[in-house]
Formats: sequence, C-alpha cells, structure tokens
Amino acid sequence: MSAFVKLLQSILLFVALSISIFFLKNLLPNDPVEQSLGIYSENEFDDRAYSDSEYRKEAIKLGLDKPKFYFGFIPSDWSAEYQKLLIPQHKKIAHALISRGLKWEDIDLYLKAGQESENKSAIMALNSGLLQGTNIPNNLDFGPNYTELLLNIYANKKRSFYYPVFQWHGIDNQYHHWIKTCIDLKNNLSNIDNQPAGPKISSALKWTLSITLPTLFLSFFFGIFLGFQRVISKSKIWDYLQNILDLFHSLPLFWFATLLVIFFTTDDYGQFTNIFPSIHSMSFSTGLGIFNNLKYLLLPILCYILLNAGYISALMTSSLRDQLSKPFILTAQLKGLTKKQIIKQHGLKNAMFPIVTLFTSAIPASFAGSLILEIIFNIPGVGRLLYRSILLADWNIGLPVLLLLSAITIISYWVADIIYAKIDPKSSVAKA
Amino acid sequence: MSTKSYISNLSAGRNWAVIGIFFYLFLVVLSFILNSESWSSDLNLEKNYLGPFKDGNHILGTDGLGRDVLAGILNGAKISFLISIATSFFSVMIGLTLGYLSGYIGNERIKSHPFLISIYLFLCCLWIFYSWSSGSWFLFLIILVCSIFVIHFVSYKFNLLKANVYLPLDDIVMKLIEFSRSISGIFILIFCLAIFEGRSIWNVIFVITIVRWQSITRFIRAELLKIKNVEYIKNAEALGIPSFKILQRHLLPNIYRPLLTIMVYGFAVTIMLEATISYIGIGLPLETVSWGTMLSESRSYFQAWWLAIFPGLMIFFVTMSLRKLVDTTEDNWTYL
Repeated sequence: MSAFVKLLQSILLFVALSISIFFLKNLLPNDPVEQSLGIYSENEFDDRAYSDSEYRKEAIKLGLDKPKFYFGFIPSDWSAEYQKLLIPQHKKIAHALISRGLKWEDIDLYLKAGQESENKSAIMALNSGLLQGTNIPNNLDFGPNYTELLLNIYANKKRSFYYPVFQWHGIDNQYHHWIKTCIDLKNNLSNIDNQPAGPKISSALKWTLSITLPTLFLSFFFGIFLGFQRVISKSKIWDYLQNILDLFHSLPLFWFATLLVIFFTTDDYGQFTNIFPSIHSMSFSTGLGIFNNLKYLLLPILCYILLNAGYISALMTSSLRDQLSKPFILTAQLKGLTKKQIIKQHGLKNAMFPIVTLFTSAIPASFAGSLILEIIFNIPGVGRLLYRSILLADWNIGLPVLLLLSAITIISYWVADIIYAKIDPKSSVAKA
Repeated sequence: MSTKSYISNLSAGRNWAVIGIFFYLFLVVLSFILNSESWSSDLNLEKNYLGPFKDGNHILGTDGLGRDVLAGILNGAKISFLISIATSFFSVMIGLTLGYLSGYIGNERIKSHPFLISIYLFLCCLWIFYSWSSGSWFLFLIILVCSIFVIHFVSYKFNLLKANVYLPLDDIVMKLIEFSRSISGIFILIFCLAIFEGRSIWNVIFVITIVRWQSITRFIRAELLKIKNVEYIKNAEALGIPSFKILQRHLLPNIYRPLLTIMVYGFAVTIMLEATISYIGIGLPLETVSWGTMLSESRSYFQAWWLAIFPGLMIFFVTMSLRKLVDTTEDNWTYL
C-alpha cells in the first residue's frame, strides 16, 4: 500500500515539475518564434528580418495561438480574442489600453488600424470611437506617436470592476501538445539541431553512467576498505593514506579538476607531465563510441575518487570504532568469539548503516558533480546536455533530461528506505 | 550517524582557522579601502598574461586582458563576502519561519475549519489573479491580508465555525522540501539563472538562497523538535505565556549556537557555489572579477598557471578555515 502511495506521489511530483517548467519557460527572455525564424532568416543581423505576417504564420505553426493550459481564468472585460494576439508588441499595447479602462471593441479596432495603416476609413472609425469627447481633432494620422497619445489621453481613466471568468479549453492546448512531444522521444526534435531526443539522451546517458558508476563503486570500495584496514591493522601506512585523502577531500572539485587539466594534459610544463590525453581532442572522436574513448574518462574518474574516498573511509572508521566500543561486543568477547567473528558478524553490519545513507545520497550528488566534470573535461554527458539545453532554451530536450535526473534522485531515496528496512527492522516499525 | 572522531580530527586546527578567517576579513576590508572594483577592471592589453613576481605593479601577474590578479583576488574576497552575508541572512530568515512552523507548531497545534481553509485558499487564488491582471500586487496583498484577518476574527469571536481539523503544517513543509530535493541544487541554479534576463549579484544571491533554504529549514526543524518537549517549555506553555515570547526567550536562545554553526558552514558552501556558477559562466556579470571567473579564464590559456593557482588557493583556504572553525557536533553533520 505504501509503495502505491509513494508511486502516486512521485507521479504527482513529475506532473507538478513539468507544469512549473512549462510556465517558467514562458518567462524566459528568448522568444520561441524569433528563435525558429532566426534559423531560416537569411539576414541575421537585420533587426526586422521578418514582417508581422511572417511572425504570425510562424507562431501559428508553433501552436502559440492555442490556449496555454487545460483551463484558465480571464478578466471579465477581456475577450477570448486576446489570446489570439500573437505579436508581443500588440499584446503589450492591448494590455496597457485595457488597464486604462478601454473596451475590447475599441482595442480591436485600433490593432486592425495598425495592421493596415493606409486604410483611411479604418482610422476614421477608430478616431470617432476612441477620441470621442476629447479635444483632439479626429482626423489625426495613424503613426508611432498615436499609441503614446492614446495612452496619455486615457492615463487618468480607471478600469471598472472586473471579475475572473473560468474558461475550459479542453485538450487542444499548448501544455498538452508540448508534453506529448516531450514524452515521445523518437519524434521529439531538438529546437537547435533537429536531432531526435531519444538517441541524444541515451548516448549522453552512456557517457555519464560510464563516469558515475565507476566513481561511485570504486570510491566506496576504496573508502570502506581503507576505513576497515585502519581499524583492523596496526600498520601506520593506512593512517598516512587517510591524512593524504583528507587533504584532497577539502579541495573544491572544480579547482582540482582544472589543475589536473592544466598540468597533466599538455606539454606546457614539460614532456613528463603530459600523461593524460588532451581534453580538446575528444570532440573529434565522439563518433567512435565509449570503449574507444575510455582514456578520456581516466582523469575525471581519478579526480572524483581522490576527492570522495577520504570522507567515506573516515566515516567507516569512526562508525566501526563506535560499534566496537559498545557493550554487545564485550558480550561477544565473553562468549569466546574470535576477533574476526566479532567484527564480521557484529561490528560490520551495524557500522554499514551510515555508509548506506551516504551511498544513497551520493547517487544524485554524483550526477550533479558529473555536470562540472563534464564541462571541465569536455565530455558529452547528460549534465552538459541539460546545461546547454537550458541555456539555449531547448526545452524539448531539457524536460525529459530533468525528469530523468529527478527520477534517479527519487529512486535512490526509495532504495535507501528499502535498504534501511533490510538492515535495521526497527526503522520501519518506528515509521509506521 | 556517528562521526564524532572524524569531526574532532577535523577541528584540531581551530586556531589556524581563526587566523584564516581574520586574514579573509582583512582582505575584505582592504578591498573596500582600495576600491578593488575599479582597480580590478583596469585593462592593459600590452601587459597581458604577465607572470607573477615579474613586474612591480602586478605582483601576482595579470590575466588575458591585462587586469591585475591581486586586485581580482581582493575583489573576489569582497564579492564572496557580500553574497555569503546576504544569502545566509535570507536563507536563515526563511529557515527560521518554516522551521518554526513545522518543527515547533507542527501538525497538531493549530486547528481550523475546512470551510475556512478553503475560503483562505480561494482568497489567495483571487490575489494571484488580480495581481497578474492589474499589476498592482502590493495593494491586493494588503486587501488579502486584511480580509483574512477579518474573516478569522469574525469566525473566532462569534463562534461561527468550530475549528475541528488540525492544520498539517509539518507535512506541508516537509513535502515542499521533498519537492525541492528531487532536483539537484546545481540544476536548480542553472535553471533559475537562465530565466533572469540580465546578470547581477542579486540574481546570484536569490538563486543560492533558493538552493540553500531547505537544508537550513530541515536543520532548524530538527533542533526545535529536540527542545519542543522539554519540561520548562511545556511549563511556559501551561502558564499561558504567548508563543512569541516563548520563541524569543526560550526557543531562540536554545538554537542560537547550532544556528551560528550552520551559518558559518553555509558561508563556506555559498562561497563554493558562487565560485562554481561563475566558473561555469552563468553567475556573475562578465566584467565583474571574482575567484570563479578568474578560474574559468585559466581554462582558455593553459600556460597561465597563476590564474588557476591563486584564486583556487583562496577558495580552498577560506572554505577550509570556515569549516574548521565550526565546532560541528554529530547531529549537525547529517543535515549539511
């Protein structure tokens, strides 16, 4: 039952996440219509490389004339026509005029006059409608100053009372279409290079997993081994090793990675320091697949392990020592068990508890850390894909990747709960 | 989680940490005195990529545009200090409010009627609608708050709707934290910074606060849960002392020390986050010189090792001494 509730909760979380991303992406400074027009526009540097009608056509092609969500609330003095204004300038003017108490019919007239400024009769109709009762002559020509004049005339007018009107739009809306294309990975094309999302994400995921999985398992293996050895053996070597790793642990990840790149991938500081392949040569050989490019992954993996193993081993040592000083160990000794038996059967099992906590929280952290490593070492992984798609407002790729990463996070918390219940039956009782 | 021995091992060098902090504060004061902002943006294209200790005017060398590295380090100290102060203030404010609501008040202290709750929610929706459609959000906020007070007062005074349902404040706050924890902090950072049109120091402060509030809230909630059921607080409640007085006289002094600890630790985390996002190239404006932007510049010219070493050392030493300064007990550690 609780698993069902958890599943339901995480589905709700995904829906909430996608809705919030949808509404936040509308706040982005990039105009999607300009973006898609810009690709085909021949003259990139011209400010107005396209006319209003071109803009409108492209916006309709992108589905921007549809309502945003399944339902909506609009003020009672607005018309449903307002949503069909596609050009941002018109929207701004209409909004300004409405908030100054103009009626929708007048604004509609005004915008139509703006579209065909040669049509004298439209302007005359507009003037007689809008400028009634004012001192301005009603044969005023339509021009750029017209809007300003109008806003000035109506500056002191107050908008009359309005109330929200509920509108049901049905499934033919922007959010529904967007989420449908985002989930359909085969036909979901990137806004930037028109590549389908599915292969793009899966190839990036391969790269990221080939960094995160080795780093997670190797760093935990080394950490647990070192922590265990420090308790068991009397040799001082392990303590020295621990001290060195402690020093590494307090280094900032991106600084350490940058230093490694600067000093160990180039000839600039002598032949002998040029141990690892240059990070820039990778971009030419990405087509060859991961197994031919494994040498590029050595440095990031090494970097991550050096930074994390120290903390894990320190935690392991302290937790094992803590357990070994407890009374039940004394009981085990009095029973006549050997040291090996005591540590294996009584100490180690209890000592693994904080390590499991750390492991499950390290999974999402390693994905976040791999973003920085991917940027520094020039690896085409998931983090870099997300970073690029967010910065270039390519949300058809960004949303699936973000959902994937949050699914990984949620699943790792689930796994933590399951492992807790296995190791320590008390925790599940206490929760219920 | 028991990490006591590890922590005591870490806090062995506290005296050095104090010296490190004073050195950092000295740099901050010096950058204000020397007006490092204009000094660090002095361009001199003839003397670009000058190595350290080669020119009397540029002791630590220059970068690709001929800007002095020492000035950049001073400016970076100032900027990281300002960002950390502001971020820790805002996130502790959010953390105290939400932590008090979820930790001290909790699920079983405030009662209400479902009808009243739905009226309040409806009013909030109305507020969002009117502030979106008219633009004057503050006026409508005042109207909203006043109307909620009036409704609450009337229903309380005349006993119209008997409060019979507990408000699950703790559950609500924990769900909120769970939601924000489902995405890694660095992705939230990139996501939010992409939305802002221009780059400024305030955007960075805002965004780091968004990332930091939930760990501080969790921490304060845990601290308040610990002291919530202590005898003298129960006695104070039984005596009828108002809850604000209890907060001021009994709760805050009790969480003062752990709060200071997490603030100092948060300082280190904030410096690290700021450097990271400036390093990726989405944080501070390009003309502002900080430790992160200097480090990111070193990636474009590998021979200039001084651009990578000096700012990186500063980040390392400052965060290290901040971490060593805090006397971290085992309970604090699990929430950081």
